Amino acid sequence: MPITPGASPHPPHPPHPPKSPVALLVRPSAPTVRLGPPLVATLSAPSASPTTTDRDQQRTQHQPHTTPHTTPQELATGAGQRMRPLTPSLWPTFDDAGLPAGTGEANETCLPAGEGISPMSPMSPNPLGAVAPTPTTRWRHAQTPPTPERTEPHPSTALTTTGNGRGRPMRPSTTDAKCAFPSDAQSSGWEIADSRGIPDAPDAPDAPDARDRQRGKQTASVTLGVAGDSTGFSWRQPPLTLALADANSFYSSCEEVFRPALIGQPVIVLSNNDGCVIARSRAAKCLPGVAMGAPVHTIQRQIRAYGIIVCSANFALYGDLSRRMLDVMSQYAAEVAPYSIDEAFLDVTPVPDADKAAWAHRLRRAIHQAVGVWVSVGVAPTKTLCKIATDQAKEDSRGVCVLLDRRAQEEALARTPIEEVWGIGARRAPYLRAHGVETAYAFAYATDPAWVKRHLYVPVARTQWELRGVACLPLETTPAQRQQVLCARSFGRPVRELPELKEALADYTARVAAKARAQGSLGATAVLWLATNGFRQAEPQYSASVTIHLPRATAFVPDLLRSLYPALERLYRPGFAYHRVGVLLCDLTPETPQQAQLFTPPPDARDEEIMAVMSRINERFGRDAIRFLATGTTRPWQMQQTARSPRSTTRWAEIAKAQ
Amino acid sequence: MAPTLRPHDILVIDRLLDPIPGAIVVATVDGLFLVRRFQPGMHAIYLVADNPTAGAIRLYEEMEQQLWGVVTHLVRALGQPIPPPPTAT
Repeated sequence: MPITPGASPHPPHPPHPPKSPVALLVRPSAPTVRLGPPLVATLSAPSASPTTTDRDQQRTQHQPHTTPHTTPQELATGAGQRMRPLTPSLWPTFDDAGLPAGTGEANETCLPAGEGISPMSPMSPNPLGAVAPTPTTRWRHAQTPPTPERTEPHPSTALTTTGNGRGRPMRPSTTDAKCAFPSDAQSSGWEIADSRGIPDAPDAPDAPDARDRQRGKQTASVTLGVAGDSTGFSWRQPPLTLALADANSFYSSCEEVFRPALIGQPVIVLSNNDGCVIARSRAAKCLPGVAMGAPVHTIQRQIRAYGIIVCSANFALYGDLSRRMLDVMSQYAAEVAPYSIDEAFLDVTPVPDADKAAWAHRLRRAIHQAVGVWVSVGVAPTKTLCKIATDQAKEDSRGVCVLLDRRAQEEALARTPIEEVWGIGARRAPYLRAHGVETAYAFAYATDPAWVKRHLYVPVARTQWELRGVACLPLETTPAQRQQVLCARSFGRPVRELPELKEALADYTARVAAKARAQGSLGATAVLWLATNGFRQAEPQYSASVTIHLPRATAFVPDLLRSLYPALERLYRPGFAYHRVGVLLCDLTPETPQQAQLFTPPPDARDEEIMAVMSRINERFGRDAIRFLATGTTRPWQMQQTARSPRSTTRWAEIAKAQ
Repeated sequence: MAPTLRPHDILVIDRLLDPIPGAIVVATVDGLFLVRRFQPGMHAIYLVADNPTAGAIRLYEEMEQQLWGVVTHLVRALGQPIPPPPTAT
């Protein structure tokens, strides 16, 4: 909360975007006089969250907005300065796999694989080693690339090739790889030594080369951000600039918002049923032995020794604060694509390049002001680079990292180990390391794309292009439809009896069905499993699963249970202490149109009505306001959340208290 | 804040407002939420309680993070206590 005292010599603080208000309950403090018996102040809607007032919305209008309307000319010039093609195929066409065309075997023009190099080697040839590359073209980066700390090939060795007049021409034919050049390639920091590659050389208009060249020009204008339709040539991605806003230790930050005593303390948040560590505050990250994913019973010693504060997961609170974060973000960008509960991609293409860092700082401050959580913002042309930028931003105390020019991108990539690249993962990183690729830089610029595509397949090849600044992953503003829905929770205590297992199964089935219904899907196949606690090896162990093909696709809970109960009875063996049961609904099909069945009677129309009424009631009066009796009344098997913080923003009974 | 606010009052907080002098604000002091009046001074900010038995708290400007939000509305139950709503278990 910025403060502007009357006679302050400090500059005024910038205005802030609005936010839903938060309700607080006044708690009697020590010196105040208690008035009669304690009154419980409530409102009639038990779980409605406080809503934004009209005045809030009016204030929205006066917030610092980024200029959404940029003239095409501004865009074109801005983009022209921004785009510094690494290779002629920086504006590539995209093939069926979503990769730039020509990333396959016939792609010497992009990054040359030297003649003397084994096809198994991912590394590009080092010209210092006198290996003559094949392409005929030569292009130089106008800026000096950074000197890498390690022994990877120098950027220039990977990028600059000296033509010797043999091999393929630089500009490929129209059939395999269309490469488009901006007509101002010379002025945009790149020199193309081979005149055959320059598209604006006059030529006979009927020659196929010239047609292709014109196409290239046209494409360049499209890629420069002018909203033209691309009739006549393949679809190309406009040069977006994206930002990734990622909250710093989101779950523990959420705990701190309504429990200020936790600020600065080592805090860990446990998974459902208090199993494993799923989040750590900044202070907890510094402590030895407190790893992500560690089962909580293995770190009891550290918890006691360091006084770590343990919180059970409170997803109601985290989800609501996440929604508020997205609200603020949507005031700062036209397109917001939530990626997970604590991060979202934003389209910042309309913001002028020079203002992007200031924009990111404004967004950061606004989110902290509105929600109380700090985010780190990374700005870059592709999603994968955004991830790297955000990682860099988290190490920086200012929390913003802008990777727009090549120089900055290369420096950030050189600092990033290959394991930390989004999309590489723990399984592929050792493989890349075994082939000498140790940093993101070596992977992006010194690894042969054809080799990557052949040995690591298309998704990783896409990652490589993304690291080079070629966007291959679109901004997905609507979440994808789920292919399957699942509910598997461990019990709060061991369950031995079949009736209790049935209750839990009915409860999980109802949740699964609700998830499927929420996206308008029916499930045709169900998978059921149950298991004992694998951590207690002293006890007898048993686990089993069964796949059930339902008579017809359904999301009606009684129908599902009619098939699941007999399956559970078949799987159940007495004498074991069961730890969890799970149900998965897959083969999801849209509710309409529905395939008619020959032997199965059609669904009763009243079933649908029952479920619709139930979900309406639950929507209005809170989750589980009405439920099937089969899901149990006392539910002794329910999971434990011994240290859950109050759901301050979604339950009137649990709002924060002040003195 | 005894005369102005009473126990069990429900306050609506706006985290985005800049408090004017005399506004009722929520601040976090020593890990607790405190409701006080906002009084900017020359070199510091004072959090003053309406209740004369509670002392003022001085915040320095660097500690502006401690201001949590501005109280905009007040919801108060009148006399007859309302039973809490049945909570789903």
